[in-house]
Amino acid sequence: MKQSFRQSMAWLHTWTGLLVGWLLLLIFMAGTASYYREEISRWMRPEVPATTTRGPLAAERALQYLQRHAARAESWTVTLPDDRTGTLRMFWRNPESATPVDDGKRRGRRGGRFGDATVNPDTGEAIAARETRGGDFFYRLHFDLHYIPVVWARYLVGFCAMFMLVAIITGVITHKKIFKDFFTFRPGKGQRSWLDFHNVSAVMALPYHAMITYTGIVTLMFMYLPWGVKAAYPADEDAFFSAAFAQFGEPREAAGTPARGTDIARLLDASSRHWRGGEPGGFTVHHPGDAHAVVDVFQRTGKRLSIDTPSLRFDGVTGALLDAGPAPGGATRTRGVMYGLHLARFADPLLRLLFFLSGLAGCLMVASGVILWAIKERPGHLKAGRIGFGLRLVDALNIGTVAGLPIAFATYFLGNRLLPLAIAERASAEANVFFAAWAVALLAAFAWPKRAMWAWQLYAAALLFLLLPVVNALTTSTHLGVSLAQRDWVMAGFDLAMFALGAGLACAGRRMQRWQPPASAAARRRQSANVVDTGPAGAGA
Amino acid sequence: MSALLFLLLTALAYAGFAALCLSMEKHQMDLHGTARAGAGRMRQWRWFGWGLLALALLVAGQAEDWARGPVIWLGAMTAAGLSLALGVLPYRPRWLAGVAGVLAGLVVLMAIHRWLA
Repeated sequence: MKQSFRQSMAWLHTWTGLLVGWLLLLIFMAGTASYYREEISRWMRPEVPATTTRGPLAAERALQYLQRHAARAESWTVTLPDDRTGTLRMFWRNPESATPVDDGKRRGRRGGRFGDATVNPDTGEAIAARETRGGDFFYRLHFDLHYIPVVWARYLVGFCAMFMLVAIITGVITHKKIFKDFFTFRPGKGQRSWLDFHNVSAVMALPYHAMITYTGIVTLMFMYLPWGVKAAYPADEDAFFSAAFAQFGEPREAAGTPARGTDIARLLDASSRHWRGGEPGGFTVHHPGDAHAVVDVFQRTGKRLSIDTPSLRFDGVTGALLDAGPAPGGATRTRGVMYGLHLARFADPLLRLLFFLSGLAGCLMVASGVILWAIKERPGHLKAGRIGFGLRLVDALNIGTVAGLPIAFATYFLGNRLLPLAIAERASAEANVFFAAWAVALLAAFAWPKRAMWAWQLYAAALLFLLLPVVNALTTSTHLGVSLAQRDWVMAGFDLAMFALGAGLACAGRRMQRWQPPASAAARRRQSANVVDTGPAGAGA
Repeated sequence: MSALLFLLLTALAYAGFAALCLSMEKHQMDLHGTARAGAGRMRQWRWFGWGLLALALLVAGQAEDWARGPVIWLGAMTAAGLSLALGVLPYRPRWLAGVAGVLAGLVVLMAIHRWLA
């Protein structure tokens, strides 16, 4: 071990990055898509109409719906509509006695312990939409993966995130000319270009990469490092959470005598005044219809960075303020801001776009990193006359994830439009479509990990993305012709973004197909002696 | 964040990075060869570049708030830096300053449009 510090760091960077690179790419892509979780959900439920009712009137309609459909529930929780999600989302908890048999499912559809509904705030009626997990699929995929127990998945994702953090720190140490090469990208020069690209995509978004990796670990910190809480609260971990997060305790017991509930509009108005303009985002009613009813009103995330939003507890009958919640401490607030930065719920459309672009830069950084490993390795194998097992494995995994994952994403969206609406377990079927498409791409890549496979998979992904707006036009009445005319920017934006992704992937496929091995140094010298120097612009072609 | 603020911050970040680019020996060589700027001029570019980036932070913090302002500022710098380093500089190096001018022009047009509206 006579290596310099920097060489050791380079070694660590290479192997930490490569080991988790492919799973990390899945996590990065799912996370980047999750910035548009609500928008994806909307596109994937084309039956859900655009709505205009907001605020107190929407809250009253929610209560009317719950009184009709869940009058016996122990509690009702309502999320009010906003500009990203125009529907009322609500769930309720049925009393233990009303639950016939626990079938092992925590959330039964209806009649189980929990019930839920999506209601149109304009009409107060439930919305019947196709069964899909929409953008929630990517959100869960980002840290729960799929098909494996959630606990394993979260440890696995945490492991990848820790490796990513190590790769970021060692990467900065390894990058000798981080300032000198800050703007340097030299295209058309083989390995040098890939290294430049990897560097630029990492350095330009470095604050984002470091933030998203670190705060990602913070989101699950109580799972990864549970011992502090266990030591201080050995008997009751929940006591820690209600103390640390200034959560309300259990509400008072039900009285058992019926009473008329207070006016919800008044409570929302009082909350808004208490928060000096902070908007209510939803509320929970405990013991609805009872003389001891309690209403908790939650503030909408709004412009606050923190994920922890203040809430107020009211008497559900008199409307009196019962509890404004204790102020959270410094550690809780720090965690709240880190958690909030990771989820970026505070981001308005343009800031959200910047987060999305930074996320894409992260995907490209990971992708260029794993490809760079293969490119560095190849000359040695070519000299030896045969491609070794390791390089073949990396090549196959590179093709099957870098080009294969876009195929899976596009196929998931296509599945939403093309799977029959009536099939059983439709939401799971959509997820299966995602993994089936990815499996096909991976198998094809393992069978033939060659340059042509790169081109064909990139072309396939491009074709699938370009098909999406077309299939949308053929199967729904929310296609571009309608959405653009109605200025429905969520629906139109989704279709246009799919066109853009398709076009980008098609360009990548074309370059892969037309690529020529770079001329040897001697040939380049001969050429540059004959041809007048065309400058850096000429080198890019 | 309004579209005007978004464009203004992107323009400031791009112009700041373009100025820092012009303050670097190797990019001066690539862009201007023997006609490259002298040491004094390059130092001016450096100050100008850092000044523009600092101004962008100030604008972001003042126009929004000091919680989201720095987040927006970093995002705008990432977007501007990536377009400069992966787009303009390798493929259209002669447009380096021109793009900053076009962005500035767009900001002015949009400001006038908003002022009239």
